[in-house]
Amino acid sequence: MLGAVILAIFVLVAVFAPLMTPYDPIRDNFIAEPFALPGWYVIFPQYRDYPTNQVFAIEPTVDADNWVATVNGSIKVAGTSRQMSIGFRTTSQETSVSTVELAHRIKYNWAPPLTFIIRFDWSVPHLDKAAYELDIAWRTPKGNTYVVWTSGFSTQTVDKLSVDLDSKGTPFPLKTDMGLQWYGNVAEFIFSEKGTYELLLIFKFQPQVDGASSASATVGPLAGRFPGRVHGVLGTDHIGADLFSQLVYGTRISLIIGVVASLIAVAIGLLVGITAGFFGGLVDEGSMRLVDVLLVLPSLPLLFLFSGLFGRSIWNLIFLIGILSWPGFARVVRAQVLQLKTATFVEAARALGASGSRIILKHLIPNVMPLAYATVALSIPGAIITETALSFLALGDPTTPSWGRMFYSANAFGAFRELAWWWIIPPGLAITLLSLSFVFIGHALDEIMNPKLRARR
Amino acid sequence: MGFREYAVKRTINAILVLLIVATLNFFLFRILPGNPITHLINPSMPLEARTAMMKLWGLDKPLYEQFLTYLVNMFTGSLGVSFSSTKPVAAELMERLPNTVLLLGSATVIYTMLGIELGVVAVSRRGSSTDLATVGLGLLTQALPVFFLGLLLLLVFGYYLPIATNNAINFPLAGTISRPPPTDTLGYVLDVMWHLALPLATLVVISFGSYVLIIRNLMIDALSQDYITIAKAKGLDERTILYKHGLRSILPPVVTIVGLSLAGVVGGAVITETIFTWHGVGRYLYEAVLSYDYPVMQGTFFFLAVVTIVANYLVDLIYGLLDPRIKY
Repeated sequence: MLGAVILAIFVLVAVFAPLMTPYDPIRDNFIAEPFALPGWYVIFPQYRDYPTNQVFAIEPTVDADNWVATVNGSIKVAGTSRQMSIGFRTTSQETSVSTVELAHRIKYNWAPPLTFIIRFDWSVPHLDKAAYELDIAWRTPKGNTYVVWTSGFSTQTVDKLSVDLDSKGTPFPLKTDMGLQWYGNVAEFIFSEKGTYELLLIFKFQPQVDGASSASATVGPLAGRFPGRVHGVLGTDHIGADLFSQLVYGTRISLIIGVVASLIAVAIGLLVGITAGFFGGLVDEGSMRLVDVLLVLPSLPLLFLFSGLFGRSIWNLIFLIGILSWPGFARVVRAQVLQLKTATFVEAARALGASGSRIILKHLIPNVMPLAYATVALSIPGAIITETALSFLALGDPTTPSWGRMFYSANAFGAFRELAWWWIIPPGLAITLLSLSFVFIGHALDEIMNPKLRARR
Repeated sequence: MGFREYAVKRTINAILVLLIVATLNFFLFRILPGNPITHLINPSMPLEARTAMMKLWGLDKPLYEQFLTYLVNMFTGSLGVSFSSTKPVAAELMERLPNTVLLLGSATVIYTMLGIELGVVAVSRRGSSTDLATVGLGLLTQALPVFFLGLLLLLVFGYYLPIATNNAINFPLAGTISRPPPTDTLGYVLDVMWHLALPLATLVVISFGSYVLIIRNLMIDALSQDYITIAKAKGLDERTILYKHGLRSILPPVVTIVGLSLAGVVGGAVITETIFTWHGVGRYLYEAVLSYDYPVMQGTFFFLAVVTIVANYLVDLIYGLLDPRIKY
């Protein structure tokens, strides 16, 4: 009963995987900070103010919700929903720099982030005897301003440039300006306190010669993000991918592998066992020698060889696991068939002139099927564990989101060093539970089909 | 049929199986697309260098000649030369064998003893909480994958424990011996045992589960025999009945099970050796597979297969000796 309930839960998880998690387990990377803690960690006091993903979007308009412009010099700013235009024009013999500071307020009330990411498009389509510079900066609640990106002074027009700013890539000179070492974390340093921060885009224009000069620049919509330090149900891995979605989709793969591989094994076992038992003679001798060989061979090293020789696609694995796990069952079936062959009802059928195929189909197969059901259930965990072991050893299919792949990456990419138990224990528990459920079901089936066993208990 | 005939039959069978495995092992490596040499030699190498290498490894001869050389090599113990390290495979195997024997041997002894002891204790108090706990533990460790247990032990004892105890207890994370190894004998032995602890624990816990359940079932059968009732009626004490009458009668099947489970234990040892980077035969095979080192793959696999076949053969013989009731 318990087994059936656990199995039902796993099957539901496998079927409804896309509903349970919005992320693709393989392709969606950098969803949050690498090694983000599980989301429910915030119930512990020391992690209470850890941020989940903090996203902000700024429309290119001039209003209190978006950009607040502070102009110093001969600059006009006008925003629409598509882009903001910044026009610069001097008529007199000015040589001083004109600046416009576009400021956007952001409340940051969490523990310091490890990274911030800012993306937007900008351009400088028109330049006439003028130079420009664009800086991106943060102003802290205390009023310090830290420049995190700069275009440098330029006299070249640019059609369209994309800023894709990741604070981890802050240039060394800017870090020095903040008083940080080369290894210092800019995001952690700037956002060290809670409060209202201002994101600043600072355009500077300078006339190059005496006389009239002009320039225009545009800024598109801006999207920014503080990747979460806690995320989802099970946090993230070393590339910020969602671990819960990997676990959920892994259920699918494991169930498919287990069921298909053990169906293959049972089918071959039935075929070999029945033919060997029914026809006897050379067929029997030959196939039982083969069974002997396969039974004594260490199957895991053999699978190593096969995956080294034939490649690592998931169907290859399933097929190989299937064709390596039939011998034990074939032997049991053969013994059963030998017994059935001398049973009175089979002899009666033979005496009535039934053909060999009729005896096999009508009398032998129905009588060995109960064995087959229990064997399917009991051999599924073996197949699942074998696949996981191979994937764990980097001999599985790297493009399939299986539990073994989770183990492999956890082991290879520093889950231990980071003490990321949420990466190691959930898939292990899932495999153990799923295997247990099949063991329970198998034993229950065995008991129902073979009443003799019941007395033992 | 007497024991002699039985032994002869088993011997012929074992040799037959050995031959089949050897043939399989050879042809597996010949049905590959391409030539084994293409995986090793840089195609930009000059032709002469490539043919010289072909000759060195005997890959330029016709297939049947390769097969004969292969058979002679395998059964005389020269297993070829590693592609990557250019050392003889047999020498490298011998260097790693003691480590694997140490790991597998001590694990087998411990889980056998533990399984017997726990199984017998569970049976003697059938239905008690000890019995239930043993069965539960057995089922659980049966379902527990070996790599998960290994990683779990590594996480708890290798990472969390040093943090919790402030590095007072520091289990080795990898390797068979410290570098550099301790110079005095006692220190050396202790150091190896310290490294052995986690892999050994992994193997023991994994293997003993199914074992204890089988012992328990066999004992229940054995204790329902008439002679046990007689022994009880005679007023023998419980220990004597359990160990002298019950356990002794189930020893033959237990020996068989130990032999049959050997193939599985070898598989588990490969994984355990890989997790704890134990310098043994299993990890050697694993590394060879990763680097497409065909002679090492072929030689090591053959070696592992021979060991399990021979072990099974010996177990069969011992079974014949132990159990006079056996029908040869």
